[in-house]
Amino acid sequence: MKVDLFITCLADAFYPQVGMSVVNVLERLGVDVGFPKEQTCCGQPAYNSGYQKDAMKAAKQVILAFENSETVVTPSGSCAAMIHHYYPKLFKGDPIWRDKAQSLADKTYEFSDFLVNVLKVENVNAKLESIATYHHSCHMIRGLEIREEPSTLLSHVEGLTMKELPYCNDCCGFGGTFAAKMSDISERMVDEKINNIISTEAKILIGSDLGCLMNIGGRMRRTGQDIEIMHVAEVLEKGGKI
Amino acid sequence: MTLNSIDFDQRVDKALADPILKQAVPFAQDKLRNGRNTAADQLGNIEEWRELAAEIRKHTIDNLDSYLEELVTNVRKSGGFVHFAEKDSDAVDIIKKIAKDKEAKTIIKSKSMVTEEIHLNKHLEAEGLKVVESDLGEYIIQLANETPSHLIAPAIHKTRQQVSALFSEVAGRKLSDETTELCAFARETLREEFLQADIGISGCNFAVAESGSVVLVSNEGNARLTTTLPKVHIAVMGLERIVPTWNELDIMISMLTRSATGQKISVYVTGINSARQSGDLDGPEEFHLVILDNGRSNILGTAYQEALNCIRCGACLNVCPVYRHVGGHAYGGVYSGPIGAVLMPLLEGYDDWKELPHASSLCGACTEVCPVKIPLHDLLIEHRKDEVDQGYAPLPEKMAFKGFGYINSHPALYDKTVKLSSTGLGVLAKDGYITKGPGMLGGWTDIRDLPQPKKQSFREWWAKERKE
Amino acid sequence: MTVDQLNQEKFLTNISSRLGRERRSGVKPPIWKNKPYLHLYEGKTNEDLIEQFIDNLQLLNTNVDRITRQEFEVTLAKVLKDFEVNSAISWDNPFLHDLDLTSLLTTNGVENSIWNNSVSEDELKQRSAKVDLGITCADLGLAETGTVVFMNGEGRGRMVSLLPPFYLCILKESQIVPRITQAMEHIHAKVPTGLPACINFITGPSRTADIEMDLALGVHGPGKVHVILLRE
Repeated sequence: MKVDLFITCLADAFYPQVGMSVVNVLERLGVDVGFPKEQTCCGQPAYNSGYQKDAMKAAKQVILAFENSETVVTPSGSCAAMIHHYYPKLFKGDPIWRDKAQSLADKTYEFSDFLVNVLKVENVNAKLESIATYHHSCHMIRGLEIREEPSTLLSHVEGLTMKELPYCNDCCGFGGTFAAKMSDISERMVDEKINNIISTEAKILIGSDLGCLMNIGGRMRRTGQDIEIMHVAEVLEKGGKI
Repeated sequence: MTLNSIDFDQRVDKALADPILKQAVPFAQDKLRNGRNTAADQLGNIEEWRELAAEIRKHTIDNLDSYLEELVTNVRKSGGFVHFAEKDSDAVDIIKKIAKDKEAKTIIKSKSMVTEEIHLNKHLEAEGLKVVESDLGEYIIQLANETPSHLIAPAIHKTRQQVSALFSEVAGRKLSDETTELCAFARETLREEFLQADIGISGCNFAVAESGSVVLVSNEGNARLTTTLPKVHIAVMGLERIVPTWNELDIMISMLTRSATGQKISVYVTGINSARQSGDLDGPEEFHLVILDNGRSNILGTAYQEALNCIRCGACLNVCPVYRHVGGHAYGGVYSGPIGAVLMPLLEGYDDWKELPHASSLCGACTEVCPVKIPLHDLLIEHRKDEVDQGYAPLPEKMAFKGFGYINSHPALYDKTVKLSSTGLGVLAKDGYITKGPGMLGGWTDIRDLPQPKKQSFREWWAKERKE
Repeated sequence: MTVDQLNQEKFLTNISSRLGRERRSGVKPPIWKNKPYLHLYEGKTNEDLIEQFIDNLQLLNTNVDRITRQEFEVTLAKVLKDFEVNSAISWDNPFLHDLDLTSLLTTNGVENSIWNNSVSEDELKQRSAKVDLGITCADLGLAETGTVVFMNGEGRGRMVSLLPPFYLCILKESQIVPRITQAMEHIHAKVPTGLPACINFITGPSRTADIEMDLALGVHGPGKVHVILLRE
């Protein structure tokens, strides 16, 4: 099976190891992974801030970059939700681009969704001795309605004890530019999230969206919490062999 | 019109610094949203209900002129008086005139957000009328000279000690802070007011077009008292608060109370179909219905039309993480939370309310629970777009996103930007993290560290590894 | 056209033009295909519904006595004793008269007033505000919610179920229907012949949580409610 990776801007620049993990896990599962170099940011920061024209420019570039792809996989619930919901909406007045947007939406999968629902894999033989909790990001659970898939995959990781996170459906306070624009409100939100994480006694916080992890991780570092952040793909890569 | 003497940032600062809010709002939110979730689970098919409720609202709003016409024809047929108010001041004038004609001295009110919207009490008091709020929460905030901080629980920001102090002042003696004693005092005091009030003013949860009825939902019974004891009843409704027939009301009531508090139904659902009829020995002699536009019709036919589906259940407030931390007053308008952030700019413009659409992390929890499927967080994005298009966005931000659009539509430039980001931001970094950034970045680093972009980006790794 | 009519037409025409179309009149709602409430009572027997009605009220601090006509006298006496009732006001209603309500109340030492024009309106209001107990019957009981539904009108004062601190509602098992849907259909069917001034749905005692979300009963309406359900 041939899959093209949509790396997303955050993973590309800030968390390249997440991209490498995705590639490694997919290749171990026998997937042929490609990386169209023409890809850019999905445009969500501009879209969510009200700059639709600027968002459209990015969206067109991403659509073009993956025009020849059979399947697109991305390690971000948020960027996948952007493509699924807002790309077709962005181009609703332009039938040609709307169709192109829809066709990208139809073939784009978030990483765990792809593993569980397309590859039909739940156990990737990963191994990680630790205690962790999982952060359900808003765009995964509400945007894409993907809730169980990451947990299913993580439940099969040998040695990993998963603790349930209280208030797991609540936002961590990231919200893109919201985190910077309204940082005092965002601070309260992320602190509440961190208190809930601490209450689980987890040593690792696992997530499917690097925006959330960057927010929670950045705040934990600032406040001196010794809890590691990891993307699902990084966990699944650990100790794994097929 | 805005009553805000301080701007949005100051209101947020004040709210975040308030230790009572920090306790009270999450506590109330948890109770209300858990109730809602349990009620939704009990139905077993909540999505089907939401689908139908949204369908009914859409049909009704799409045919609003017809249903309003049917409603007022039926109100008049059963002897009621109908008044159309284009603006808030029109509604106030209409009510003032009725009070004057009736030589009224005291007015008792049941909970109504629409009369808060037109600041009715203030205007009636200026005419020398005594106006008493009878919903316990509204009574508390009236005594405290405040505005509601929640759609259905207006006084959630008040502690029992504060309530006791307010009531003790009215009583002229020290009351305890026991809920039962405070409620007993309110019952006794307000009962006196009810028995001698000249006019009762209520809101309208739903008007039923087919019979010209006004339906009121309450748990305390104050709406019943308001519409039973005084000789004149005035109901004030926003023009969108209507259903075609009692059959549609079934769905709306089923959704309203479950979404609001998790109750399967509220204690009292009261249909007022007319003033008293022949043979009746109680009930008002006169019924007036005031139908208010006040900016609502401007929303029709726009991208925001679904906002008029709102049935004021407050479910979106109860799940909103921003509301959780700042409470209702920080929003500054009569409507707070996600629906307030959507409505206030629509009703009163961006000049006073441009910040509200940004007071959201777009987490979508509001949209998920809305019983009539208003895409609340999408409407907030729509507002942000309109603000940009209408010139309300700051220039540096505009320039930044222009740059964003350019870079992201030029792959070679994007490639370069990613590769250079590590070095570029590296000058600010220490041990791989930036703790104090300039501009927009400063908002981020105010409260959290930002990782420095990695020396080798993914695309560089790929190029090297795969020799592509 | 009068000023009022002109004003109305201006108001409504503004709405239609905002909606981008001509003025509409006489629109009727479609038949909604989706009926999400059906599963809530499909397959339920009358007995199930009655039990559900009783259970729901019990959750709301409201006890239900399910009794035969023969047991009414004893049950009423017990309710009056439990509520420590000395005075009452009741509807002027054949169903209640058939139960010999007034004479039973007198036997139990309760001074009862009947809601009719044998006394002045003001006197009815004063008595309703003063007595311990209000007694009414109901048109329907709703199983899903534990609600009693009634039309007010002649002999059926609104204050009776509203002003006294205790409220007693008496209805028959056959009046229990599954849910609000049936009540709304019942009201909808009566629209052509005209509705009374007021229709009430009452579900348990008056309640509030406006002080620190702490539940308190009886802040405005009756704080104690009791239901007698007559077997047939």
